[in-house]
Amino acid sequence: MRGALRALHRFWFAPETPVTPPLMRIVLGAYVLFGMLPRDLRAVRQAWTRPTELVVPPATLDALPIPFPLPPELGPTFAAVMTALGVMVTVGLLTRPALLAYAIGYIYIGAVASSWGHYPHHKVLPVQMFMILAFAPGATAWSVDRLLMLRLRRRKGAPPSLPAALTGPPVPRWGTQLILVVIASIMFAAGLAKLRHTGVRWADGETLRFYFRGGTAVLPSTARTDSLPPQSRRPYFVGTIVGPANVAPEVAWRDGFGLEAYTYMVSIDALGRVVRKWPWTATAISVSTLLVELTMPLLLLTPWLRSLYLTAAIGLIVGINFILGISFAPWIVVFLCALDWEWLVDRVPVALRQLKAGRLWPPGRLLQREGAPG
Amino acid sequence: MEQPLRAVRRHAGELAAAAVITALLLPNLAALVVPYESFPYTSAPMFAHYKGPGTPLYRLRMIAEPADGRPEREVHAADLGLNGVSFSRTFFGDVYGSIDPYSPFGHHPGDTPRAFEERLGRYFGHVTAVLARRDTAGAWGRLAGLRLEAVRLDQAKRDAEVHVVGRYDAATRRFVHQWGREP
Repeated sequence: MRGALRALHRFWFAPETPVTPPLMRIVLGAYVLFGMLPRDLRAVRQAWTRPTELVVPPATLDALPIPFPLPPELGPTFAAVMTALGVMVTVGLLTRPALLAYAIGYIYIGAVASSWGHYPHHKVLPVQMFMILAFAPGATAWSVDRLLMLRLRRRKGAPPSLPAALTGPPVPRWGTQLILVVIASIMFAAGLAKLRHTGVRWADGETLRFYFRGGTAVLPSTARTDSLPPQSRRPYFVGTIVGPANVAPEVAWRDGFGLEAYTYMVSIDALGRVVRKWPWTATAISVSTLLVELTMPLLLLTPWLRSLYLTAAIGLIVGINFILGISFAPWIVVFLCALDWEWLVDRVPVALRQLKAGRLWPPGRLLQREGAPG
Repeated sequence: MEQPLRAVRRHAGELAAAAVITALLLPNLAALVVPYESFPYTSAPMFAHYKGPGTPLYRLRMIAEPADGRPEREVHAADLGLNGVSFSRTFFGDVYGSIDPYSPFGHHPGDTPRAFEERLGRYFGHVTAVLARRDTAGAWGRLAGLRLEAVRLDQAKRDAEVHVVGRYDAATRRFVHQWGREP
């Protein structure tokens, strides 16, 4: 019991040089600021024109101190504040309050989108990362805040060196660990959801084969859109719903059919059309997806498993993008930042040299225990 | 008494960290136990359904019944100023409800025909109000009611079999669930 508690304490509170939290803050901050925020602010402004009585706002929107929908006169202020916060998060100015406020602003943006029936799964990880970074030890490393502190210390004499001042002393690693646990938990949830709602038969590849064929929304024959360009027909589309065949009447009491889940919108890319030609690929992708998602928590065990699983997850996301046309680019940024870069920089060159010398297994120092003589 | 206090003081930083870890992690772990989606938390249900060759596909449609003898017309999301797919999702998840009472798209545990009627009555009241507000050209006229239908689609995704779920009466502002009831 005491040993387990000690291991748990070591898992969360062992000291580390802060790398993942500041790297995540800077790289993800810059990506969100330039790659996501402009489009997200446009979407928030458009929400004003929609009939709000037709949505059931999520509880998070009620709890936030920002009105829904955002009145047009507040649009420019909200945009200016979010842009300023994005810059402050990235460069690290008033870092922790800025991270917290940015996370709140982004929860609002995500909740607005989800209240209109478009749950932004691609924003889940970035927003949760900002929430963690607002508290994580070491998240203020390599920041303007640290530079200002250094100037202050110089005035008082005996200043530390610039790199030491920017990095700071070793910190408890719970911020990095929490980032990894949240990643593992969300990826595991994706695998669990497939098993929970369909059982192991999801692995037979039929569901992905259906998506690879495309066209999961229909244009009703009563929608007169012939004169419209294809993109303008989207408001007339109807999302299709699946339900199992032969549902018991007491379960299907609403409509006699038994409607269960809505389908997702996909846009089959070139790779999707290629994959479609070989039906076995859908089964192979289904099995490997389940395998990666359900065993994702193993990334918490060792640095090499952490690198292996995060790389596999990046592969999965890239595959989804090129086959189904669904972009989860912000997740790739999160996974890249969450790699154990210190460990990779230390181990990979040696492993590559060993591989070059013809010793294929074990791959260099990659599989060595941490702390073993190098 | 003094010793535990001293221990708490010594580990105050770690206790505070444990509180933050718990607060940030708990909603994610809860989503593993009971599927739900409330931004930024999710049970990640994308593609978590089964669609084999024999699994039927459906759509829900609303038919407007004008009071002045004009022909009936399907209400499209565009008529309400909304995106089609998003509209289908919010209506199905938040209002209509899945056969799975704890569907991640919306929880309706212990749903009954009465609760269903109340939910749809409220919603269709809003739909008629929005249609009237947006109908500046008089295209819809005065509505007698709205009919909700569940439609099974064929292989070519055309409407194949229609079940009338119920009807909203604009005068009484009530939705009456009709499926499974004697005419």
